[in-house]
Amino acid sequence: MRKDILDTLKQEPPVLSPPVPVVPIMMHYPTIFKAGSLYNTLPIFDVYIAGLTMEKLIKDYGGGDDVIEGQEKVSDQKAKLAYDILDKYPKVFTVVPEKNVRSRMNICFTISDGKEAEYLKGAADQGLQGLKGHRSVGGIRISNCKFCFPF
Amino acid sequence: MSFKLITIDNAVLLEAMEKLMAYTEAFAKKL
Repeated sequence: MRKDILDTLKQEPPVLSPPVPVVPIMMHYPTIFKAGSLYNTLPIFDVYIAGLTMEKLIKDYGGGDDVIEGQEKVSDQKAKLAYDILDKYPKVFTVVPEKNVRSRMNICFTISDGKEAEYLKGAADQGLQGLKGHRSVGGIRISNCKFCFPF
Repeated sequence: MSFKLITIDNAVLLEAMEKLMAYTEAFAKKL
């Protein structure tokens, strides 16, 4: 880190009132510097992917408010695809949350007669991975932002 | 079989979701 940049920054993280740090402390350069870069290790791969994603969003939607709205439309479209099918077969699939509090990001459901393992195996046979529900909850969880499939 | 983690390309993600839900619907019909 260049010291001339460091010197221009406030040595303590700026704090709002009520007291909430404006910059998360783990991202406050002077704090990181004082701790010899060991205050917190960022998930570097995640940060890298987030950067690529943001670059792509700006490229696709031209920046400004359109970035959020543009991505929101695509996310809504994907979530609708999933919920429409799940709702079409209520005797087979039970969406875990009530309709008015459903997540667009994590689409969680169970399958009647405990057929989740069969569903997961069939999905894996087609290369659809990462669908197993949380270990403490079970069921199926479709992540609307990422799952794997073969190329 | 090789896998690619998709987090960026909306068109590819949409295609993946379509494939997944086609499988899901076929699974429901089979039961």
